[in-house]
Amino acid sequence: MKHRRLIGAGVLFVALIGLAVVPIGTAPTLGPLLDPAHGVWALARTGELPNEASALLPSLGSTVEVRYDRRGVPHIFATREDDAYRALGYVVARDRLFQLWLQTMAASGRLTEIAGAAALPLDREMRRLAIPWSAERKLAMLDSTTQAAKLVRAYGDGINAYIDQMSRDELPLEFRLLGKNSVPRWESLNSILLFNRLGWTLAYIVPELERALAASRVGAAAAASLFPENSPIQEPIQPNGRKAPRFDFTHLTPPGAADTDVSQTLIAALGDFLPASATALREGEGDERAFASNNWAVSPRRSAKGNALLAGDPHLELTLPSIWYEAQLAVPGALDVYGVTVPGLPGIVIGFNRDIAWTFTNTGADVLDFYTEKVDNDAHPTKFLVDGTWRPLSERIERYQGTKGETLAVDTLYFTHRGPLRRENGQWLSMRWTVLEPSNETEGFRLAAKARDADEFQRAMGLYFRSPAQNMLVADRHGTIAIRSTGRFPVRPGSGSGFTVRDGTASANDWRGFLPPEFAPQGRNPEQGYLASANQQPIDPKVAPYWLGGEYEPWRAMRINQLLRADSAVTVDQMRGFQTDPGSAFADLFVPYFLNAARVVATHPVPGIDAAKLAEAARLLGEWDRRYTRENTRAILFEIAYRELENRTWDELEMPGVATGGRRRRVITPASPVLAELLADSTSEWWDAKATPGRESRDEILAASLIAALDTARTRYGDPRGKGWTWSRVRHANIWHALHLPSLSALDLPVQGGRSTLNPSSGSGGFGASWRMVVEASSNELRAWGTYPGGQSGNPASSRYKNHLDDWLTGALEPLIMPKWIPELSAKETVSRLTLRARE
Amino acid sequence: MTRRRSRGERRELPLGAVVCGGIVAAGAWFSGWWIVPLAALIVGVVWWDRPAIATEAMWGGVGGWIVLLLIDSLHGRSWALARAAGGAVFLPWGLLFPVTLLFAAGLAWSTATLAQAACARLLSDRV
Repeated sequence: MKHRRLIGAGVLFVALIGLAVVPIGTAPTLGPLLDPAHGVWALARTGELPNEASALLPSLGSTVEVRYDRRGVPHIFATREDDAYRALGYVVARDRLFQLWLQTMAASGRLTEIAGAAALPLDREMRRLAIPWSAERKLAMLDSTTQAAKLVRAYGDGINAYIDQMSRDELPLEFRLLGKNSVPRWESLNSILLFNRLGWTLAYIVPELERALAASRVGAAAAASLFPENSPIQEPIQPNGRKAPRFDFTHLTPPGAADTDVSQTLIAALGDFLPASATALREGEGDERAFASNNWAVSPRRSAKGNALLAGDPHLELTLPSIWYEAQLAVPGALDVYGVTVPGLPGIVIGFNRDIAWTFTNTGADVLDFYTEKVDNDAHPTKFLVDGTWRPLSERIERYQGTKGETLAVDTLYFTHRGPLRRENGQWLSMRWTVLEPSNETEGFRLAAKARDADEFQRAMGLYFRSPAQNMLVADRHGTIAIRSTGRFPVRPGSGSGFTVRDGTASANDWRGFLPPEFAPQGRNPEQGYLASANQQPIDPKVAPYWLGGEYEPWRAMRINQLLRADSAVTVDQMRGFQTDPGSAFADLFVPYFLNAARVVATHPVPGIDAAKLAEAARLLGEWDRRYTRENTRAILFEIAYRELENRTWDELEMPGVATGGRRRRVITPASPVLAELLADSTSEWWDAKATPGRESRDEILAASLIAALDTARTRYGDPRGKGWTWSRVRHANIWHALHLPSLSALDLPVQGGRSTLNPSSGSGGFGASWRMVVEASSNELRAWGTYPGGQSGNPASSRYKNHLDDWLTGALEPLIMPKWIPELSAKETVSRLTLRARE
Repeated sequence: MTRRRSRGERRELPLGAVVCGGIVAAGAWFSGWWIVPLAALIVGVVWWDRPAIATEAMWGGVGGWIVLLLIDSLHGRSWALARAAGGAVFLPWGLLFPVTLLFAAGLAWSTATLAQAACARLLSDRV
């Protein structure tokens, strides 16, 4: 008995000590983790802001006071501009240290150092796209004496001051879970890496591939028809004088013989160049137009109070902590700006000052081209051919390290004057991409924050902001509203189209330059009294003498224009309400086609179509008001019917081979406006189902889709009169933590909105309005309201981790307070004070 | 069958538990989790002749950590943390709390048991 007890104690002791000090796989060691004094439990103590705190920030020129308001927003009061950015770095690090580090690791292609070989494809993508190479070049070319360079350094100083002084109790949870007990210091390069990664998120658009994929199934002519140069529905950002969208519908070229030569070569060659998101798109499983955004502004004459109004909500991946961090920077006589910054970027990206407010949507232009290249030696290339002359290639070795510092892989990258060069399936391809080219967006943000009117803002951004191109909307106190697609848009030789892979051996195929800002799509105090952008084609091709290319969806733009046209006395509250408006121009267009098809098929019965079931499906769909409210019980039927319609219509684009899960995957899916275009053509050959001997009509396909949707919806969600069809039960937002840990995430959140509504929600539910802001600019002052899905703190034990979620879900906005100086922030509004000093 | 304590018999003070708990609670601030086996080792050696010293050390370890967890709770949202951090290591529903305490209990008990056995052997050999 005694021996058994002793053996038991020995085994337990060894096991617990082992677990306490030896990590098993990627699991953390239990001892440091469970320690209630300094382990994860300590994060409960550090989660809330202390009433008073002070810290040393040795590089400060003078003392900086920070006041946190009730929403957890730091208001930074400094006497020097660089000190304000130092303090910004400090407070961002204090709340979002892990996010800063993880984003940097992702952008620099070093995730393998955290996750091992499993992350190798992601890292290879970053490095082969030359994101780190480009960041290093940009930093090297940044004149270290400029204000922008100083701010980048100052910001880093702030982050490092926090890292240096952080107690072990403050080490973020995620570092502990990963078994790391220290945080690497911040480098200026990281800020540029993050900006490059934003470019990859927003400007990696490859129409060449879309067409090639489609051509591989239906031939080049049909592919060009499915992926047209211009959107078939025109509701441009730059007002074109019309009071309604224009439908430029044409007859789609029928499917032809597969173009296997050119397109297969291109697909094979581009295959490994593509990010995972494009691969998903290729397979027809992408998160529909995930990276979208809205912004609109109303002129004083169309607003209820006679003030300019501005609203913005960038749609990005929803994460916890959020991509955004709110802050105010105040420096008397030099700077007074409030808004959201991306942790790691030294500046306010979207926000307002005392005179102007601004917000962005993604332009989505095609700013990337591929070139076929000839090299001197396929095995060990040293030169590439241009105009008959061999030019030297530059070379770079990329080493991927594992979690213990071991080398997992080594790549040799080559570069032409255009950009990175790769060999895929025997073909050398180089890439030119505006994201990789020298730029200085920091200076643009710095000057924008100080702009006194819309013109100053546009001048600053026009000079310095190059990529990723954004539709920058600005409103000022003088009542001006203005928008411009800002960034670098390549001017291409020949037709100017970016749909082809060009021959790199001829310099005549290189870009001729960039579109001057004055030719970019824009609008200023238009006759219509409002401006709106929502990722639609920026300029009407009938007035644009150039091609911007890219990926566009008109639906949200159609809806916001519809709302703004209908209202000539817009209020702040209406602007807020529009942001979560459940109406859908997309449903408004498609639903009538389904209902009409049901009527047609009912009067002219078709063998194989169950008339009774079709009538029931049509009745149920007809009950829907086409609004994606939480409580509606019919949107789900439409959603499934639309999917069925896509599956049945685009069967020609299915991959050859065996079907998985009941249907074959498509090589690519045309955008919804093209399907809308096709609907207007009831006799198109595209309606014919390949698998059947007869020839189907449009209405038969629509009717069959509707019946299939009813069957699917019944199977999945039960009786149509039951609660299972309620939108809030079937459609959710899912806000994942960066490490995809459910307990740190906010999942299954019911939302108002759906496909192509102003508050879009589709696919995985992982994308949506990442920040909502409404600003009213009167001649005396700017007033603003905002919220975002998350909270300021990255500490899940903090009450500020996801405290804005409820407001975000209901579409409510909170007033954003912007005190001129410390005394203006009342004691009631102040929850914490932080004093940053240069020395004790 | 347990023997009932007679009216005149006095309950013995669990000195091992008190001392172990005190060392753990105070020492943890200045060191780390390893203060638990260290404290258990000390009480196991000092009171090796007390039959229940391992159990006392176990309660001491648990008590010391409860004190620390209470301090954490007073300053922040320990429950939210337990759910978030616990879920991240596959311990849902706040199970991180009992697991934390079991870890301390197991460490303290096993260390004290081994320490007591070693002392018993060494010192009884000398006698």
